[in-house]
Amino acid sequence: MIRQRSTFRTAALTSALTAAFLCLLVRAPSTQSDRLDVPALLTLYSQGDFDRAVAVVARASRNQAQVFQAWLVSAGHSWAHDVPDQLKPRLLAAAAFALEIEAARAERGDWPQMGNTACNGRCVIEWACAILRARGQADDAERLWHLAAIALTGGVRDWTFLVTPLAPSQRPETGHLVHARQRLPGEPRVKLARAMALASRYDTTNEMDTPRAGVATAPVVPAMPVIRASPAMGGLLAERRSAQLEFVMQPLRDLLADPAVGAEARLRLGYLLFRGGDYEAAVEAERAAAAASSDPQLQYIAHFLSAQASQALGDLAAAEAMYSRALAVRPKSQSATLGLAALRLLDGDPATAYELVEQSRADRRNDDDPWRMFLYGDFTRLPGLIRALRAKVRP
Amino acid sequence: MTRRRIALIVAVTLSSMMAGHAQSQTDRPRVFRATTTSVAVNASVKRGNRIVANLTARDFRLTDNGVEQAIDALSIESVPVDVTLFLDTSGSTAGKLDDMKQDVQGIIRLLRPGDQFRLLTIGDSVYEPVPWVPAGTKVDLSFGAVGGISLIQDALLIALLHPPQPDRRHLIVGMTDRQDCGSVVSSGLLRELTGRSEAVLHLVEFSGGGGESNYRVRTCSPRARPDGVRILDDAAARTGGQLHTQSFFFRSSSLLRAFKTIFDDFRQSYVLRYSPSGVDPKGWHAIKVEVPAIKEATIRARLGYYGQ
Repeated sequence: MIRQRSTFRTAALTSALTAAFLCLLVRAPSTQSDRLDVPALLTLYSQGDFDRAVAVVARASRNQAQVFQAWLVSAGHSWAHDVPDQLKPRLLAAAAFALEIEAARAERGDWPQMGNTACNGRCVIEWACAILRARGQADDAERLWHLAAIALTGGVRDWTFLVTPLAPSQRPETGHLVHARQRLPGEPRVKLARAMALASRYDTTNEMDTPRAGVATAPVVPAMPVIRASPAMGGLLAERRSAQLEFVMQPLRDLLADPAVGAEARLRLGYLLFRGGDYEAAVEAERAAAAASSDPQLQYIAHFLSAQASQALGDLAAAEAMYSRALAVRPKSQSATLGLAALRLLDGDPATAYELVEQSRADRRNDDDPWRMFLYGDFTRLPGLIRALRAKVRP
Repeated sequence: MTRRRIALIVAVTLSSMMAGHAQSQTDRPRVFRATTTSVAVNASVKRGNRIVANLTARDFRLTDNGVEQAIDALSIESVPVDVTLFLDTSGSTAGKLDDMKQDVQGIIRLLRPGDQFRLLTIGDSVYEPVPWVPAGTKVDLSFGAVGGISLIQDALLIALLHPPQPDRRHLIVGMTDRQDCGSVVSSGLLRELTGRSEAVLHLVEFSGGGGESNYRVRTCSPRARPDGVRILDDAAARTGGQLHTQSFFFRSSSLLRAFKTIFDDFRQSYVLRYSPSGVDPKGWHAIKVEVPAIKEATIRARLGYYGQ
């Protein structure tokens, strides 16, 4: 009896320990158990439970997400083909899901341009692009997907992924936009995206010198040692820069008459003119861009850039007027508020400068300042594009 | 204490601000335009690494554009302080956010009755997660990392514009990785602003935690200015403050410890007041402060101010 009890206890203990071990095994961070279930998450996403599916990957550890990326690329295709009569919507769902998880990963800094992993953000986007092509003729869903992929890539400033080279070259153009242009040859936003990518080399945050009334100022760009040592070299570099600038401005000029993107092309052309030091032309372009659009975001940036170019010309009264116009379009926005406050302060009016900043801070919207998002291409359009894409995926 | 270097400072005080003398803090905005009626200069005096205490007005010699001025002096110990703390919570430093929050609570506990505090955070925008609160207030620090670019110079404009009441001093302590990017306020403008505010600015170098990848959404353009360190160092020095780099000020230490060192030094400094005489009220006024009896004294004071 005692032996029986003992045997029973031993068996119970063994069972408990085995169960605990199995539990630990399941929870252990081994490569196998780290794997998120790709087919299950794809199914969840394709059924319209978008947030839940994306959140699983967004919350995952970096290693888990990397494993997931690789597995998605290998298993996603088979998942789509598992249900032949649902192939087309499933391919769209897989591509949309891939894009959304890369957007989530990019938000936390996991969009490496290069890497030693089998697959990175670029790879996943290219894979998704390829499976979309398998759906046949490009449709509106694919158009939305491409625009969203372009917007995401702008957000991480991976311009060379979109188009390479960024400067005049004998090499044939490569990059993700080549695919997008093949699939959507007439899409003006894709054309604009190419122009923005080419112009990205001038998407600098170089600041302008302190504005002075009646005095033209220039960007503050500390000269490289090679230029300081050799003025001739400096001249050659300036010539090269000028040629490059002309090259990247042309695609924007080609779009000026386009009814869909002409105003934005002019806005961005004005920025390049500003960066190139042609301040009068920049002011003119920005005024025309603001007049040609009813989009308050675009108008705000146009007025802001016009103010900056006016400052560079030494026309501080015009600069104040343009900052004020920007704030009339989009009250309390911080970039124009600070630009205007700084000019007031320079003019010996700290009280107004203080009031401007105080009111702005008290009431300022919690959204992104358009100027501060300007250099990230179409990134501000990403949330809207994802919503529209989800509507196409939704069963 | 041996490694402190501090300083204080500054100028200011404008008549229009004086007009707001009796106003309460909630009666803002007031003006802090420097006028010829009164200038206040914070000064910290050290012999080696030790603060020199118990000095009086007679111990100081102050010149305004080379002209010696008659001054009053008092220890700042008795003066309430407005403390603006700004934290760089952009992509490059966001990884230390939890540590920073703990330090913020500790910093508020260091303040004395009568002092007040506010917190600015910077990234894509400049935010004010903690508006002005009296010392001792338990604040809600549930804010997240701002992420994105580092608008250090924009944050400094906002901080420097604060007009403290004439009987108070304003101390700004910024914690940043020193890489400004994307500010509307240029470095030249920042330099001028420091001559139009009475605040004393200290910047504490803080490294890391965030930007393991340049390919994060909304990160800085890789073409950020390479001379950012010099710009911030210069801006702080012009107010009588300092840029504290990790290498010699503190190493792998906390913001709380750095702040305590700065704040302790600030409280042991002096406020020198004078009504400028014998100088043109307009333009830049270069200030020089000396303690003639202590030849080896190291004095930190604002370098000057813009008159109207």
